[in-house]
Order: sequence, then structure tokens, then C-alpha cells
Amino acid sequence: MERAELERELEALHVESWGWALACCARDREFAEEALQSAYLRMLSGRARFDGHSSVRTWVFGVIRLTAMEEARRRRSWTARQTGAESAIDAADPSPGADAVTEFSERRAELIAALATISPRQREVLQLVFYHDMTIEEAAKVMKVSLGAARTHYDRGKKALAQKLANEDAR
Amino acid sequence: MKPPSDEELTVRFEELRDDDHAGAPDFRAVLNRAQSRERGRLRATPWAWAAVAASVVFAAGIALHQARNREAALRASSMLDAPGGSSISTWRSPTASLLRVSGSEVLGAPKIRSSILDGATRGAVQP
Repeated sequence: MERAELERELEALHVESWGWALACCARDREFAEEALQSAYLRMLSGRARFDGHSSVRTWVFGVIRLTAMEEARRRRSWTARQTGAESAIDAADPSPGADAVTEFSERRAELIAALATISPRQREVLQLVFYHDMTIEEAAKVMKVSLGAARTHYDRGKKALAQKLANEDAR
Repeated sequence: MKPPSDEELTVRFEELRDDDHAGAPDFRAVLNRAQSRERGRLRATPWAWAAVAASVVFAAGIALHQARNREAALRASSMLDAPGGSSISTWRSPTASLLRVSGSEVLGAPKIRSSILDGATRGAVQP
């Protein structure tokens, strides 16, 4: 794919990519933008190549996910070097910070808080299916897991999330 | 309380999505920041290589200097061993001759493969 064509594709997907980057970066805006920048550079420089085996959107989301994971690992090791292992554990916690929660309405905050309680894989598959309207098969491609594993994460995650939200509503 | 259905979950995710999308940064701005970050990284790279090269040259200089010092020290010690100088094995005290007393040759151990007549013979032959 030519650079200009790829740039057009990325621009068309940008808002969606932003939402996905936020989900991959524990909803930290600064971290999400950094990961998105690195992912764009990786794709435009040819360090990540589109092989045509999936849709462009699936490929872009896969690169964003991988880049966010690498950035998170780098951040964790940097934090660990700066302030010791205790801070590294804090940085790995995907729950949103107080500032992030106050930005949203109560319902959205509840959803973010409930998402933070389920496993990362479950969170990813639910985000891809409900937020990005992907099929479970597409989500499996983004997450680089088998369809069966994605289905299991989806079923368990949906049950856990629904239960968590029901408990929140009951309070 | 009944857990939310798939439709209710979808609505909740849509609300979150609308909010996120409304606050998304501009694509061009993100791309420009990414490119300037990359340019900065590339600009920093030659300096990093120059620093590494300078360190290598500095370390090599120190190693060469130390090797030369070692060589000079060896040369100086070998000069002491050379004729004209004196080594520790051949050094004699200036007062060593005072320790020699008459008749010490008789008291000393005879040399191997020598005769007591050697001196007498040599003295007789000498003009």
C-alpha cells in the first residue's frame, strides 16, 4: 500500500483508532496519544506492513494494540527503575485514575470502573465487539488469539461485566 | 437487580464511544507530533554515535599511553642490567674488599676441577 493511500486510511480510521488506543492505555489520554503516534509511525515507515490477510481496520487495531503493550512495558520498566518495584505494580493497574472518572457521567464512569475489574483479554474483546462493532472473529484477529479463545473471553467477560454493572445499579 | 442485556450494554458502550470520539485529537496534529518526535530522535542519534566514538578513541588513547609507560619502564630496567650498569645479582658493596683477609683463599672451599699447584705453576711460568 502506498504511503499516501495508507495515510488516507489512517485518517478515516483515526477517531475509532483513538477510542481503541484509549482502551489499550487504561484510558490515559497522554499515554494513548503517545501509543497512537508510535503506531502511526510504525505503519507509515513500513516497520509494520499490511499483508492483506485481514481488513485494514483489523490490521491497524492490531498494530495499535501491540504498540500500546510495548509502550506500557517500557513505562513500567522506567517507573520501576525510577521508584522501585512498588510503583511498577501501580502503573500496571489498568483501572482509570480519579481524573479520568470525574470527566465522565456517572453511567460512563460505572462502565469504565466495571471494565477495570475484568481481565484484560475480556475487556479487549468486549471493547472490540460492543464499542467498535466488530465480530468476535475480527476481534480474535486483532487480539491474535483463536476464535474459540475469543468466544470464551467474550462470554465470560460479558457475564462478569453485566453482573458488576447490576451490582453497581443496585447500590 | 437484573444484569443488563446485550442491547443495554451496547447503549452504554455507545455513550462511552460518543464521548471519546468528541474528545479525539486531530489526526494531522497527532501525525505532526509523531513526525517531529521521530525527527528529534533521528537528530539525537548522530550525537549519540559521536559520543560513543569519542569514548572509544579516549579509551584507546589511555590504553596506548599505559602500554608506552610499561614499555619505557621495561627498557629502563633492562638498561640497568646491561654492561656499564649493575644488576642486583652482580652488585658489590664498596666496602666488600675489607672483608677479605690474608689466607682466606686457603680457608675457602677449593674450586671444583682445580689443583693447589695451579697457582704455583702459573707463578713459575710467569716471567
